[in-house]
Amino acid sequence: MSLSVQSGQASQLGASAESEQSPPASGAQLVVLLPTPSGDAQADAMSWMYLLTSKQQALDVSNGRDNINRVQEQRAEAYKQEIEAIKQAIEAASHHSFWDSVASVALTIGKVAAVVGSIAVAVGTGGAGVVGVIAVAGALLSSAGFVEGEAHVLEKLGVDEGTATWVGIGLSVGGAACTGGAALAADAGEISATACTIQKVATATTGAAAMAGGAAKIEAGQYQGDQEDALADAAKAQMDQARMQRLLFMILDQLKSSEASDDNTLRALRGALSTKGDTLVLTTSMRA
Amino acid sequence: MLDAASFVSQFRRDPPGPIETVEKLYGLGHWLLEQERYADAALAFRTMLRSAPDDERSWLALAACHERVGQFRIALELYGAGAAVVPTSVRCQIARARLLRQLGRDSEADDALGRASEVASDLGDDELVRFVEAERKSLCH
Repeated sequence: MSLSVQSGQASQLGASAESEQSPPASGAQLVVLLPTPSGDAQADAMSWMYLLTSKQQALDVSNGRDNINRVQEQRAEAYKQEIEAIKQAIEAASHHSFWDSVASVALTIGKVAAVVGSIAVAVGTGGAGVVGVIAVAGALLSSAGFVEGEAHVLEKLGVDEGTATWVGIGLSVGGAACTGGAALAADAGEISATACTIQKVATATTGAAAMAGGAAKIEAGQYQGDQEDALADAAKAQMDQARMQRLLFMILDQLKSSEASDDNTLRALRGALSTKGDTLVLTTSMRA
Repeated sequence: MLDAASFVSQFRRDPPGPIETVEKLYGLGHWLLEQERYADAALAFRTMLRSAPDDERSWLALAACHERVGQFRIALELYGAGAAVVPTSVRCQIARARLLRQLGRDSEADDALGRASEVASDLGDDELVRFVEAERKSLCH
């Protein structure tokens, strides 16, 4: 693909012909980011045919389903790990009943550890499958945006104004798959750091329980700081996980209704084909 | 007038390969975008995206459709996803930076441009580096 810079009066991406809302124009003259297609799009109708036959769509649905199933299997495995983490947390709590509040924190953290682990599993073994899921998710976000409107679909996905990104959860996951592990390494580092925090809290919990009197109070103070850090990590991870779940459910719903969707697609494309034909006739007439 | 029947027979005789198909889809979507048929263009780009998620044009073009109809947050999500899936995509970062700037999120825009600059440098592509610098100057004015 050509990456040459093309001069233009304004960014194609910046123009907004039918905006629901209009951001202030920058006024700057910017290069066009969308490369010009090769060949004559109007004269070439093979792409229409490809869409009309819908073969690719059927393939995509199949691939998408495989990808989702793979991720679901990974999540099932992560669930087992979560149960194990919870058991361990309960075990630890039973030895130190004085730390009831700590036990509840440990439970939360144990769950989060599994959540983070499930993402790690997806990253570690998902590879191209994860990229496929992100692509399906992006397409889903787009189609739902056109059908339901931006605000509605984002609300359904649990994304508010303050949330950085939703697809961003797919983040370095996609990057890892594409870079052959460089981004994965970074991601693993973050996960590892979180795990360290969790481990630190667990250690502090066990250690503090064994102490007596003032020493325990001092340790409790240290623990408080670790706990707050860990809870902050936990809250973020839980939010991400909740959004990921919504996303997966939406994708599954979409795949289930793919046949109906294909029918609608064909109808829309036939309408567009007719319009394109009319345009060509008009163009030809004007040239003649 | 376009003859659908001849398209069908041509397709059956000589079906396009995956690369050619992606190019056709992009050409088609681009044409529809120019016609301001944003929903139809998005349909073509979505199909392209599913076929070639590692092609930065898929993300750029689909996001552009949403940007044109004023769905800026969806566009931002798609630019962001494109930048994640295609880590070498300087254009996705720039497009994201432009939109963030237009929305008044200057700090995030600067971050995106910074990442674009890093990627361009890492790639060792002087043209891309100049591209990012030109963009930075444009956005600063």
